[in-house]
Amino acid sequence: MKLSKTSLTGLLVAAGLSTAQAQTVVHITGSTAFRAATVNAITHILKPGFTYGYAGTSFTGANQAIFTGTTITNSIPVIIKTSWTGSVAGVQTVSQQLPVSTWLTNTTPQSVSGTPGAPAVYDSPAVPEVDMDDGVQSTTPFPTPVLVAQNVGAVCFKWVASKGAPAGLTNMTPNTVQALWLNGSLPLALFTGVPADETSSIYAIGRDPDSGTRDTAFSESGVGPFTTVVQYYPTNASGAVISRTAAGPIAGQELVPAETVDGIFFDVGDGGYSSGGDLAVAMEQTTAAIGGYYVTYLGISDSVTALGGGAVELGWNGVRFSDTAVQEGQYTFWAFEHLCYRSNYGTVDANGKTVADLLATQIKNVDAIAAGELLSSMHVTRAIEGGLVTPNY
Amino acid sequence: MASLLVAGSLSLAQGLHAQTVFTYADRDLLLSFRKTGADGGTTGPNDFEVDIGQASIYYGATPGSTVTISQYSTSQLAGAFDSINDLSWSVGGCVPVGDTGSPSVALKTLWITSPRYLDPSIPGDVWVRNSSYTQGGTSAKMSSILNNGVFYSGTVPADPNYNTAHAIAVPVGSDHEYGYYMGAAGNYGNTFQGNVENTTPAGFTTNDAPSRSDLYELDPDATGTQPAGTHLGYFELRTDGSMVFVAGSTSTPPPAPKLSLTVTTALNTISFASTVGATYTLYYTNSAGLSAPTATWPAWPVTLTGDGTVQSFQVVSTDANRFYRVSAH
Repeated sequence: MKLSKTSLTGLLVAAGLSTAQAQTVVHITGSTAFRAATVNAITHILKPGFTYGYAGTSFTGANQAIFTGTTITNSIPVIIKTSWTGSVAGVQTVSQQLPVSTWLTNTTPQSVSGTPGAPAVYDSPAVPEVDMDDGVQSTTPFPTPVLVAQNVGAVCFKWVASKGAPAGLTNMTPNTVQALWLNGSLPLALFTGVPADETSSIYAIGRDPDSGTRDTAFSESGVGPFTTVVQYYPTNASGAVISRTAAGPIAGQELVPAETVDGIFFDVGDGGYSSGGDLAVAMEQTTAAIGGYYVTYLGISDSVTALGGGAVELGWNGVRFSDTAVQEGQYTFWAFEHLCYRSNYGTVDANGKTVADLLATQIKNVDAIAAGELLSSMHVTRAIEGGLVTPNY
Repeated sequence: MASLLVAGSLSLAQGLHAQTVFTYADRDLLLSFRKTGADGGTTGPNDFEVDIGQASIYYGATPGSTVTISQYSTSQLAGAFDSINDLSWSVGGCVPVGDTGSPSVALKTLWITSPRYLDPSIPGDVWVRNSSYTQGGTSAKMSSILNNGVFYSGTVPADPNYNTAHAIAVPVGSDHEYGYYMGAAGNYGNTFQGNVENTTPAGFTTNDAPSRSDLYELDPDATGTQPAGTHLGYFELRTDGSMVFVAGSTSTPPPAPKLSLTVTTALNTISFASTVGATYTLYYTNSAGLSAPTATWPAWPVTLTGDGTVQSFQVVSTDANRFYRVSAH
């Protein structure tokens, strides 16, 4: 009798472990420029009835989200958590197994229609398994250990001027981008060709070095992904940096203070916004207080936000963004997006890897359109961000 | 003070890297070495970068004085390359955007070398001052070299020779090396007006001539006339790998003097047409010392200051043969 009790207890413990092991959790991090495509794809690989919640008010712009459901293919019960830290940071955290501290807890309010306003209550820090990378790992400061990377689409970007920019400011070139970001500012006349604009300025504003958008912008323009640049922060009347949580109007500006990102020191001016969403909000502000205008680089999703708020889209080498211009090679401000995980992921968590592969396929076949172009629509290719664009036929 | 509230996303990130050993401060000058093979010599696997301290050490030096570059040793340099023949080197520094030092030196001021290509006694090209925006490009490249040196230092273990507080060796081909930002043309990635690198000749270690490069201070110019920069002196890489800086007048360096020699019994008179303000130093040796590098020749204890007239050193010598050279700075 006594032996039987002991055996029963043992069986219950074993069953509990089995249940815990069956719950697959996938942590996804990386590109803010590609988050809209990724979260859309997540909703498309889960069976109807799944629930989700997210931080803030914008589902596709949320820095964190949680999804609970079962995959349509293979019927894998899964919790998927996203926390977007930037493409470069994503490469670092996944390849080098560094924990991220902003995963929404399982008790986050969720519903089948999506529950906004998730409280900032997080799990204990956990290492992400999956990264969305704008480009290739070798161009980041973290080229090893080499991750398994699946090309899932072309992520596209735009040069954008701040609200109220003059009509003559229409285009960026490698020369103006390099001169602007190496100096931090340039006379407006270099962009408009109007002598009277020599007394007005264009200021550089942008992302921090965790960002794949920055990496692509500086690779594409010839600045160089590791070159020290000069960027500003716009500030409001309280002295806070303009963001989604610190409203405008702009009352002044400052050089981005020196900071340490990923354990790396970045000098005064070399840092920037950690979120494309916050940067987009800054571009919606008028800039009379600084005696000039801002120019920046944004992913498609964030550019929609900024342009909707009054920012101005610029061309690149005289060409405006369009799907056709990207697909045929006239517009070159884009990179291939990669879904990445460690080579041993299938060994560590076979179901997790299957979910990641399902997600990659879904993005590649359908949802990449939210951040750029489907691979199947591209008639050009390139080996690396900033590399030569050539026909793929 | 502005602030940006962002939810913390990374933790323990600093634990990823080894301790950063190599550091710098704004306005430090960076001495950089590399072997590109461009002149037919060998190539080096690493660039060797040395922080030689604040620019004020050099622009504040008393004219005629010598500053020994002590932030690296000859053994460190020798170990970094297969030899110091065909070795390219430069010195550069700037006042970067965001600098909070004395405003008496303007933002985007550059300190930068001009190589003496053929004859170490003949000054190199006179660098001119350009606009703040033009010099800003070079300033950014200089900052990039320093910041990437610091980054690389944090990715490798400390090393008593090649990852120290003042010196770092960075692999060629890395996006973090000096050469990546300097470019093949030695002009800071096409942001500067000319080649700032000097390259030692194939027989450098066995001949008697040092490798010299003039140091210029280039304050940003707002006139658009590209006036000449201020000559501060010259760096001298000696054949044993050591380096000194010889402070000069704050004008264009004087031309090398053309010497004439008269001998009256034991009295040797070395004469030359002098340049106003230049300082002349006499060096000498005898037949036994002729094979030694000229940099090791003894200096005569008396120097002369040029006044535009013919000036002379007078030396009593009992050597059967005596050889002289006169430096001007």
